[in-house]
Amino acid sequence: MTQAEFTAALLDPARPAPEGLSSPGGGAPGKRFDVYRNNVVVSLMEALAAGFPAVAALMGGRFKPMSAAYARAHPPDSPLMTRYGRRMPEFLADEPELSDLARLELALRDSYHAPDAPALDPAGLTELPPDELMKVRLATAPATRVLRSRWPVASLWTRALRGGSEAPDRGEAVLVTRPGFDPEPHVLPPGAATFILALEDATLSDAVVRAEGTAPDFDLTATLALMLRTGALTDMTETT
Amino acid sequence: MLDAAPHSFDRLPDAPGVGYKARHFTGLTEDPGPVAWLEVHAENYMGEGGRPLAQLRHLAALFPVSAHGVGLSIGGETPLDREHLARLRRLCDWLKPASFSEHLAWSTHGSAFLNDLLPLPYTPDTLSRVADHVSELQDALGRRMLLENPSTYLAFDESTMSETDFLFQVTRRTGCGLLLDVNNVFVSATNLGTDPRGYLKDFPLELVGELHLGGHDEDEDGHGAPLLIDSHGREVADPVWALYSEVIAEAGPLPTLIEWDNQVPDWPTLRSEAERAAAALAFA
Repeated sequence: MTQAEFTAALLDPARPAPEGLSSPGGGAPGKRFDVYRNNVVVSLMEALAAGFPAVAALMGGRFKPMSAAYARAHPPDSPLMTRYGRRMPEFLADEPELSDLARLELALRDSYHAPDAPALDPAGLTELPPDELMKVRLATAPATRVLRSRWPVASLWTRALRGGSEAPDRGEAVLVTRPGFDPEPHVLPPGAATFILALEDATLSDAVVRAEGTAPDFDLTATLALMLRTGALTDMTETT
Repeated sequence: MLDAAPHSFDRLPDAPGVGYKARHFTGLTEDPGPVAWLEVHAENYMGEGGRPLAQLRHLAALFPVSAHGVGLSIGGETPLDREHLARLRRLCDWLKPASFSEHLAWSTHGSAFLNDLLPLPYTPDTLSRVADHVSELQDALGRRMLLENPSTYLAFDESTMSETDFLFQVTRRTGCGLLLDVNNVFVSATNLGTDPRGYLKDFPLELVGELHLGGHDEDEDGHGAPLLIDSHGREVADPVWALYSEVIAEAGPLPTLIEWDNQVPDWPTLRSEAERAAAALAFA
């Protein structure tokens, strides 16, 4: 018997236990092999429940069978269980709201394990004269993530895990930040997602131009205040 | 306030340790009782930052740490995962654990990681493979490792060697030490209908650098025979404590880990298991 045969039987409950295994009394391994089957699938289901608590809360009783099916279809491809579940958004593609919520939960998990970085001191930014301020390049923290959804994902996440009001009937752009060790999702005002993503390769003024291109009412002050307050910025460089 | 200045410990003390869980951080730092060292699953500390690494950095200044790998698949038919070897190397380089251990088991096949410690037959072929993998790991880490005996639920018809002989042969070929999981001895012996004391009599105790104790669940197989599940989800069972006392009476005191990974209890409950181990060690 090879480990390939053992693996195939572990992941497919319809297959018999592999040849060459036995019980001490000489009987078929049956339930003894099922212990391994159960360990594998249940441990993966538990990892998914821990990794996608909001999806689990919204799905209720449907989460268990879904996660068992996911575990059998997509066992981990690495021993780092902290990374398990990357394909959940596509697995849930038929339920786009849940699919995007899974995307948010992956972003929160990535943020949790991202490198530490000291936050930018707001004084450095607020003390610059406006014309110099607009020329700076801002660096976002490694634990920062931006995602956009046609669904109110951040509101759904909050409601699923912390209760509260009904999610609004509109899409949300979300900024994930990690001020200390616990990532938090923040709903972004219009244009802010474009602005934050533009910081990657643009000066502050160019990022504002791009943001205003998508949302004429883009509010720079509010967006920078949110980013400074949540540790989303780590560094600034003045350009000439 | 405890001194958090970093220093390194070069060995685990012959005292109780516990498998570290984040919910016990405060209990451990404020009221450790007899707990004198910690074990962490290496794979949980391979992120790039955040709380897990910060907590471990803090605890490693207070306690000797044993890094326990659960994902390398030393018993696998396929070559060791080079990327994972490099991650283990990186972890050991910064953590400088007092001990590193892994399992006589496999968990990866092809690209699938199965998140369980799966059994292998004991034959000359599997012995060569396991010994090669242990040597490769020791070379990659630049240190001696401890190899742990597994818990088993069934037997392989093709096995031609006993588990104790297999483990001894691996140590002969590689120079590695052994981690003796006393609960696994009891679970496997019950499941295979063999005598745990016979197993321990054959086990090379002089090569043991660490002991594990954990809880198991009781079930039956489809034929009415007892089937013990190595669940790590409750107190250590009385017959396992009895075997433990016999082991340390024979081998002398050894670093002894309490493993409780599922249905994790509050700190006082876990600490009282460590107190029971400390009481047994006092008589060894």
